Amino acid sequence: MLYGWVGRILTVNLTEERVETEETMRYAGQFIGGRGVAARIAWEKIPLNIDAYDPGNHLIFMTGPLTGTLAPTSGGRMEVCGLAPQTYPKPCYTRSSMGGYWAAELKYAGYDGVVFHGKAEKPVYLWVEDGRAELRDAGKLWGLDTFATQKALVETHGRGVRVVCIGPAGENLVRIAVIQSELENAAGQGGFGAVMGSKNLKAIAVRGSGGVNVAEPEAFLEACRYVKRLTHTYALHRAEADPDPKCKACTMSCTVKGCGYQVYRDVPGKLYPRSYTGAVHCVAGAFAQCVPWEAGFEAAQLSNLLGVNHWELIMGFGQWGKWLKNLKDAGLITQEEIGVPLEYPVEFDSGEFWSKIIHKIAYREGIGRVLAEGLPRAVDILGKGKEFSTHVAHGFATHWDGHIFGAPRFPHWIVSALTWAMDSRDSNVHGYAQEITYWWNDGKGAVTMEQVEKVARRVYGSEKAVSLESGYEYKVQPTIWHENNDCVKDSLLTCDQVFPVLYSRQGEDGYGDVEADAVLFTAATGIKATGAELNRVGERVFNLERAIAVREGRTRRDDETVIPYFKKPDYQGIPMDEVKFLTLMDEFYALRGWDVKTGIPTRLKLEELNLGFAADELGRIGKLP
Amino acid sequence: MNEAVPPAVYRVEFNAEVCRWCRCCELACSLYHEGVCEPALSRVRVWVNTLEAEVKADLCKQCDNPECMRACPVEGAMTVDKATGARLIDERECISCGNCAEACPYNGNRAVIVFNRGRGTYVKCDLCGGKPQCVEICPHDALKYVKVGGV
Repeated sequence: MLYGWVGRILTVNLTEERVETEETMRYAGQFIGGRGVAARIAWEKIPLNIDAYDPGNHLIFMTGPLTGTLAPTSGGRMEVCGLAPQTYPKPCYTRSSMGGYWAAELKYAGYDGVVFHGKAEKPVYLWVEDGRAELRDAGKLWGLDTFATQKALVETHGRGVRVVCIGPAGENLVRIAVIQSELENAAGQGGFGAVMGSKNLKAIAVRGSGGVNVAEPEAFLEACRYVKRLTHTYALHRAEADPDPKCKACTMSCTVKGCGYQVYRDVPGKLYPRSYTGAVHCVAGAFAQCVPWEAGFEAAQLSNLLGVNHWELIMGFGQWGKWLKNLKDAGLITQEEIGVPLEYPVEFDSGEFWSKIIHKIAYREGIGRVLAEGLPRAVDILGKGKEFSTHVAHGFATHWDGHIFGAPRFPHWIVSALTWAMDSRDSNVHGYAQEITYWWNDGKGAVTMEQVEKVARRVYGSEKAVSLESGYEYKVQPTIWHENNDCVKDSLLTCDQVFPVLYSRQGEDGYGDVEADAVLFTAATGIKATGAELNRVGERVFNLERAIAVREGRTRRDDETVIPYFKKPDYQGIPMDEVKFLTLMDEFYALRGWDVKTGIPTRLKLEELNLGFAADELGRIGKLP
Repeated sequence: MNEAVPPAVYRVEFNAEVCRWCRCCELACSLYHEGVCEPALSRVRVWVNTLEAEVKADLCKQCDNPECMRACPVEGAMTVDKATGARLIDERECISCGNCAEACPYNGNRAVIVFNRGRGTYVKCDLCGGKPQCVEICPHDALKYVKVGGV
């Protein structure tokens, strides 16, 4: 009997309308699930030198062995991967994780994942129920918003059906279109909504009446209680910011500081004569700061309904990224060019303004045609505004890099910069930078800097990984540790906001337990693994993703594109020291076992990680150092 | 069932206002009792309609006058837990006739008294012998173990 995994992956050829299955364990033994299995499939199946909208692109929805179990935060998580239209300067392979209920329902229906390729002749959706899957006509769904699509599919297939789908933005190939589920769960980054649109794939509806077997039920229940206890205190320090944690559909009572999930019913629209039941969460909180509040809430819901990525809207164009405002203030763009009247005195804090902009983006009208391409391409198209761009690298806007949030502080954002340099998308850096920021909180948090240093010594091998005076010293080790761990949690999957459990109020020393993921994995699957062993699997996943990137043409030169952004002074006025950072990059490649000059993994390293097949392929196309 | 059934002592109560929709109660229940994470086998179900921001739960009310026990044709197949007052199905005696599931006025969704196909028996909330797993795991105290009378 299989534990954790349910055993089969659906493969859907949209061109030939053919649905097949393959064995999950063909991949999972080496790559666990989620991000890891997706990378293995992508390596094997995505052809070289194609566009994200090419029918040959594969869109991979992959759960992990903890998805659909009681493991804290794991319930509905999965990873969406493929060639992404949002990456810059060209579409590259990347990933986006999402929660909700859909991924768990997929496993209850008997599948660990779904892989789409080809392109349907007409709009279709995939209907999956208890070991069966078939493509159905989506002609009547095409054009509907994401809530209406979900409702229509529940109407058709009955209660308990869970849906992921796209809105008009995905249909209209908006590069910042999301894949949406429920009120506010989305695979946001990457523009995978547009990949669905390019394949004429409107939705996937799932219902399952099965379950996920657990190898050691008692030990697993105990492990879940243990992790819940360990991290429950998370709510305490967060409580200062939000005494009423609202994160929905999650097994934890934590809430991300200031980012709590808030649900509102029947809020009257300002722009449209209707009302909205919806949620705001994370950066959508910026919309909630609009004037009047209801208009901002409407803008947030329109981006959910039409399927436009909140992150690019807020951290790029909108109220925190302020690109459009700065462009206007500098006289580089006129109101006529924007094509939406600005309301004095609220101007860029006007909810109605953003609602109109979001509509234009989703339907590619006027300025929306430009913004629909995402921030870096919008700069290229207009030929102006680069100096105000919050684009860091690879096509993605600012994220925990020390410039916009008022955190993380120097030297912690050096780890952010290094992680950003090596990634294919915005690096969340939650595990390192966000955790230190919130737990230590400039000396006002739940743990002291001495405790943070002690945890660093234990986990990364030296307190210099975190200490305030450490500068550029010992920043490679925590970067690598977290990169590998990120691959693990995206493969299991667990929540990026809670894992790894570095800090806790449970012990005297402020230490959590970074073995928590391994304890859950072992009890769920019956496969014994330590945290270090899982970290090694994470290393394999990270290296395979790097091999994919190298095959796409990535070299050290692309990694270095983060430097100009970080040379801009951080929120405290501290810029990156380029020479020191380049030395750090040398050290990174060396410690990774990659060629320092090109940033390409060596055959030795790839073979050591059982990735000999990747070394062979890179050798064959002349890319192996 | 001719003897008078002693009144309920404890039951699990659900508060929709504080429920955060995570449904881990379902998984804790099915894992504890059936060794699998499978909502359809859980003796508590939480129905989340996110788009209307609505949540409802199906769970045993441990009725004072339990229709399920009245409907059971087998002497001794349904009993009462002395300590908790839980209305129990003795799976060794159960003949799987389904009368209890039919009789329960709260079982419209077949989620309070559930047929376990694998084991060929009906199952229902037994209050876990006084430590309900759903209550233990609920991160938001949406489920409470409440004393309602007796003993």
